[in-house]
Amino acid sequence: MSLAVTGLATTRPRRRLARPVLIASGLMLLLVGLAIAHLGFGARAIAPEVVVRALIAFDADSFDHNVIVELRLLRLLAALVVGAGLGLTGALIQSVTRNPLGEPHVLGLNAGAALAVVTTLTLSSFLGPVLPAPALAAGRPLVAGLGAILLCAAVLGVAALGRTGMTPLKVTLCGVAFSAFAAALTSAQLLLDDQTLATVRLWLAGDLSGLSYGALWAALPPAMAGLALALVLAGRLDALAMGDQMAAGLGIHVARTRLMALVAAGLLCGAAVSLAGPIGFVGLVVPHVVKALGVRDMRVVLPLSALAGAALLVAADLAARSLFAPRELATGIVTALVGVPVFIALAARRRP
Amino acid sequence: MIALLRLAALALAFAVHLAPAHAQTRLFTDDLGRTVEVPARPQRIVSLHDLDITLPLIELGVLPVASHGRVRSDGTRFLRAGKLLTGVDFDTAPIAFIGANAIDIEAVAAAKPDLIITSPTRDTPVSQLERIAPTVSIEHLKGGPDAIYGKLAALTGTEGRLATLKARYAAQIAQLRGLVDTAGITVVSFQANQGKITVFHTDRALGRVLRDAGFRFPKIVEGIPEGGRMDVSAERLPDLEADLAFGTFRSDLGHGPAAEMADMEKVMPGWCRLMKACREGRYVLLPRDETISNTFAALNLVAAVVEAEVIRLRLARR
Repeated sequence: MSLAVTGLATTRPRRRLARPVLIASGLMLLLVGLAIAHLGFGARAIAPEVVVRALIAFDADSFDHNVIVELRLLRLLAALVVGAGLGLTGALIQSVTRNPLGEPHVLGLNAGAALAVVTTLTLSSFLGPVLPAPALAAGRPLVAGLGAILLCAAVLGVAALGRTGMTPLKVTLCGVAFSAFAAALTSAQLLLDDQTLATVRLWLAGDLSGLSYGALWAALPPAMAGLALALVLAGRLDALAMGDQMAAGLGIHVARTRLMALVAAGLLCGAAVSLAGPIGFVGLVVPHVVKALGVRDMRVVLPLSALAGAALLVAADLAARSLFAPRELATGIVTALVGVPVFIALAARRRP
Repeated sequence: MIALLRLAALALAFAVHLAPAHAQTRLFTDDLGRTVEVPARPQRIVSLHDLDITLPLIELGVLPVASHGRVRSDGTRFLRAGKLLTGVDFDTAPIAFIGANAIDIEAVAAAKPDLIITSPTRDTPVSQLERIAPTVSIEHLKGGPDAIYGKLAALTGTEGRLATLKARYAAQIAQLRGLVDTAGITVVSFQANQGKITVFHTDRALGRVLRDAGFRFPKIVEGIPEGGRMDVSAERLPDLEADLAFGTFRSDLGHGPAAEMADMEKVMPGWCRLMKACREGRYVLLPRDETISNTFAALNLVAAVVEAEVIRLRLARR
């Protein structure tokens, strides 16, 4: 009898672990496959052996080698960072707000980040003597993160007002209203300044072209800080999912946890927006896909959301580069084409 | 009594003398297919596009009373390429500013126009404009100067002036064709565009001159519809190889050639080393203001530059 009990006790955690490990392995395999396709396919046909040679013995005078390393590899790495960042941000936001429609694009993080970046660009002619262009470029992820945090805080703050408190519907409506407000301020600046408009027109559509390794390295520290903070908070977010009172009863400081999660989301979203502009719907779709696979524990949901977000954006970018070759679509257009129907389906399925 | 009659006759004669310009109208079919009753001799034209309507009107000898324009970061307003190509701008001529990206409809009405000329790409609805004055819409992206100037000359009765402008340009093209076998030389025009390369079928004045002179274009360019443009990945740079490659830099923003080189470097690091035309000094950068308009002044300037480059290329090949 005691042997049987011991056997049960050891197999349950194993089973609990086996499923996430299986899903993570599957996602990793998918991601590796997509990454190989991303490096192998593009507007120019390059033989697989040339791709491999470019990665292991780069020849600076070979055009194909430059395409692989300077264009496709850089874009792949950026897609991984941006996709993982947006996937994590979506999972954090949906958990903190207990709102299945919560995502960076809907709750104002993207719009706040874009507004902060465009405002900095508009002011750059005045800031020039104080802050040179390289410093402004390096600080872009933090500026974007700050803009994302401030606008999302405003959304959550206003949504919490009133007797009913922060309901999912109020959060969504406030997010849409504040996003529209921030977008209007961004548009006003661009309409008044042709020069800034020319600089950011494509970036505002959400695109991964024209990046540099410098911009990628600048986005990595805030992204890593956001990831670390999110993983530290994962256990507390599970408690928060049971309700504020229950979480408080378990010794969780609810307001502080929410604020920390918002900071993590802001850092991740800021890093993503600074690289690719406001790409929508990755943060919405990814946590739902992960949860549809039967995962509920935030300590597992968060890493899986990062993997799935990266895979989704790599696939979207591959489609943006290949679907209408030699023309290229903005990556954000492809994610919106996939994300909008999902958003409508989720909204329609949701009970009042 | 006789004095009174004389006064009445004088007043009548004066009224008749003033009236015709406003009273006489005729029908004009615009590029939206609308038939509009327009003044036979419009006196107060408002233009909703600086480059493609205002500048051609000025070249035809007609000064609009108000125009669309651009705004610099410091807030100053200007007609794009206005001073460079015609010597006319908001600070040198009595032209009122009606807006840049967004047209101020009250400013249009305040100009008291007797004719408004817009284009299909403008956001301001024609239905709103035609409540102020007769409005015609002219397609400015297709057909090049021939089509645009032909319609503007017909609207303003300046066909004679247009014939003179055309004759001068035709003589320049004939001279260019006489210098070399242009059909044996490939040319291309492209520019950096935020991580992508924008390739044009006919890049305004630059493209017009290249096409009128009979040069050949790479296959990828010929696949673009007339008047169109295409954003392509830097991976397609080898498809843009040509005997002469042209690019432009944003002179209107105070940028120089180095800015366009830097923008292309962002699109593809080391691109000039990797593209034969640039590596061998056959990549020519021109101020965008001199190439972007459809004016004859721009065509004349570009034709002279292309002629010089063709001569340089021929000497280099020898």
